[in-house]
Amino acid sequence: MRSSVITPELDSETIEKNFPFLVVIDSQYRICFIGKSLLRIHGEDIIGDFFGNIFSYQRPSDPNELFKLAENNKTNTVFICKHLKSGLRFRGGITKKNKFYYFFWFPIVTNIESLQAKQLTFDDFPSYSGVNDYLVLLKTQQNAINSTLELMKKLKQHEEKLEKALALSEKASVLKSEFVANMSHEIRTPINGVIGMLSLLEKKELSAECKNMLNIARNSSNALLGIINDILDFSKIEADKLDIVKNWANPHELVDEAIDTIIYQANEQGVTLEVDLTNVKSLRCFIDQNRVKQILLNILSNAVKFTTNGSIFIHGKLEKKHKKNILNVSIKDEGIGMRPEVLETIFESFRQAEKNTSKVYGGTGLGLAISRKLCRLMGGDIKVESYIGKGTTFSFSVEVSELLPAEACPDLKPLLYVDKSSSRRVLVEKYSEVLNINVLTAPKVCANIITYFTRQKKPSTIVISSDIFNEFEQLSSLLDSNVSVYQVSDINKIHRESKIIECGHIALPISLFKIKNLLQSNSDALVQDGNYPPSLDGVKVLVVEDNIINQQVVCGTLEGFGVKYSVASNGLEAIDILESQLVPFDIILMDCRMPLMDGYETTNLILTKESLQNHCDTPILALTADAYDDEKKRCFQAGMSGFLTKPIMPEELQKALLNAINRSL
Amino acid sequence: MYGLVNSAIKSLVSKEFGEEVWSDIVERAGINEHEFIDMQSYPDDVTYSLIHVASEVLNIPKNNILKTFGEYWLVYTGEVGYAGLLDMVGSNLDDFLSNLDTIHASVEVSFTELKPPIFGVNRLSKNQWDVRYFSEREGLGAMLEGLIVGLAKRFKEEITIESLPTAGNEKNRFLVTRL
Repeated sequence: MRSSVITPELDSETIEKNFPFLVVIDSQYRICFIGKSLLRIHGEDIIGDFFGNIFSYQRPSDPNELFKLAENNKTNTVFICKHLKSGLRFRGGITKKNKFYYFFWFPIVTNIESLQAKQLTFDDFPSYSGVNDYLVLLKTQQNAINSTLELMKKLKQHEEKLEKALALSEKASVLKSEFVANMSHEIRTPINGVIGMLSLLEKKELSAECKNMLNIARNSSNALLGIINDILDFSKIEADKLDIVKNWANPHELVDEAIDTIIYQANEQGVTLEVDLTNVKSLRCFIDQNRVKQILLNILSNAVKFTTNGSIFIHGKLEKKHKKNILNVSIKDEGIGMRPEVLETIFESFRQAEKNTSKVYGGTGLGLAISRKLCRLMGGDIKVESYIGKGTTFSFSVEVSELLPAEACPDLKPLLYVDKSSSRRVLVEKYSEVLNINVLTAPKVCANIITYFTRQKKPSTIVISSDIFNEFEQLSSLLDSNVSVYQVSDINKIHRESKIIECGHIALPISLFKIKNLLQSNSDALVQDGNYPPSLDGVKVLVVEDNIINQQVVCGTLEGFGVKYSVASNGLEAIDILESQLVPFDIILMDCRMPLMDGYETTNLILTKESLQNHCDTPILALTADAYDDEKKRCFQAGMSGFLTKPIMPEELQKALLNAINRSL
Repeated sequence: MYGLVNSAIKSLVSKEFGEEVWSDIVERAGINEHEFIDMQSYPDDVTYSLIHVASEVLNIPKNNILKTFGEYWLVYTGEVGYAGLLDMVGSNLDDFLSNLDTIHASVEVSFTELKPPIFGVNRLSKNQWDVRYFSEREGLGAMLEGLIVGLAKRFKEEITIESLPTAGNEKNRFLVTRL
């Protein structure tokens, strides 16, 4: 029956191969032939049935329209019928030939699963239909989307793992910081004892041999303290907890203080320092002075360490760059220098120029890494230039948030500066311009200059280089009583004994800060020979400290100042002493970590307890081994008015006590 | 070679030898990617390097690795979403073999940048097929052998594969006999 309708033009093999879903109906719309695939889906009973019973008309929905299309032989018209039994929708072409309608069509593919459910395979779709290509494309695209989603899921999981790892690492870092902070406290306490005792011992009569041994012990303790401070800073940098604390500071004073720390050693080695800060025309800058000083000290101590003979030149400049005030400092030494390849890593942690540097010169290799981090935290940077055998220049910059231009000091005394060194004379003249003071400089001592100067009949100052001081002494009869005389020299070459003239001493290098202080008759610039000024005489101090060694160090130092003191071993004892004391102490030195009652709570009680009302104005200075900025904040929050870190240096303690008394007056 | 192939190698090695071994292979092969995008085209060198290094690390001859990989290919593609498509390629060994080229041709039609192989499969008798393999790539005949073994396993058939001399552009030629 099926083959009887096949025309000679369409042989059965071609039909079977190329039109597996073919449907042929007669003029009565009865199905008389179907392709093999449709036959498999539907079954033999389809033959002879009406087309309308097997398929529903979807596009067009009117059968007359559909068959009209066939008669017009319009091949590009889309028509769709649904096979009722399988639910498959078919689309394709319809044509009429010899009273038969031919449906050349294929199932519409929306997904592979629907075809699979009807047990259709690749063989049901001849290659010209493109259905197989479409099926592959459809599936690979679906899978590509799925695998992308899977990748995103993996990425998300990876991200979550990283976040967890980061959180763990941050926690570990916090724990490490806490550990280092605790260790810092634990290590600083015994060092405080060692350094304090050594400094008390220095004041005793000792043999030359003992003094030498004492010197070695003091240097070793200071070196150990430096290492601890470096490690502490480094751990804070790693934990991102290093705060920059800015205050108003005098950059000239800051450089002088850094130089004071190393000048003795430098001069002992035959190294001289030359400072030119004439381009720093401000005496008040808003910077973190401790951190800037730390950078200066790091570089300066290296410069001294690696220079056996020669000079170290310090140049400073304040300049405006991109609307920002920048303080630039360069430190040039004439030391051993470094090879180009080591310069690349010199700012990395635990790096030193050469493998044996640590062995020969000591140090942790952290100083420059810390300095770079500090510079960057303060909006600047650090760089280095070096040549083997010629020396090294470190240049660093920090941003200055605010600054005030140097104010003229019209009340300062006139100055006569006599020095063979023309560069120092020029420097003094430039500094004098900044300070707006009258200065006269001369290369040698002449009677007419002295006479001219003393005839001014007003208080004035003469500074003479110590190498020509003898010549000056011979002219002493020309001096007026209003004239103060100072000799200037390297710290270890001071012409100490002048039987003719009473004079003070200034250590080189000459600086603006020293000149200003000198002219203001400030004794800070004078070289002290171990005796502290009497201004602390009779001052009463309560020392609250639990550690016996620390008590001895602090009390021994206070004795040297002529201070009267009482000691409490913890906060409770301190409260008892204060409650029994009607006349308040002038100052309270307060340790922070103590048994029974710590320093914060004790301070709070002193400031708030009714029975301690007459002590609430007494300045309380923290005396703690914790060098963290957090600790400083906590002390001030508790109500303390000053902060000293152990190991306590006599000069620092003296300065802090004087400041506290002056403030409270 | 598309990423799906590299992903399949990764899956096979990880399953059989562990992910650490796979990471080691990737690292030694100097490949930066640890994940491959299935339908992205990767340089053939990536796949060849992976096979080469895997052979060294696992101390297994390269052809054995390729054969195992060919066998695993059908399992893997079925697992990663191509099961329905594979079912449509053929429900028995004969149909599947005869459509082997059709599916690769369809891949080439859809993804012009990929260069899938060409297969010529002649059914010699009810139980015997002449399979000819054409490819621009060298040295992957063992993979095809594994693929046919995998096909037989898929349809629970027992077969023998005999290598035949090649002619013209044929890279490999096999006589597959159903037992």
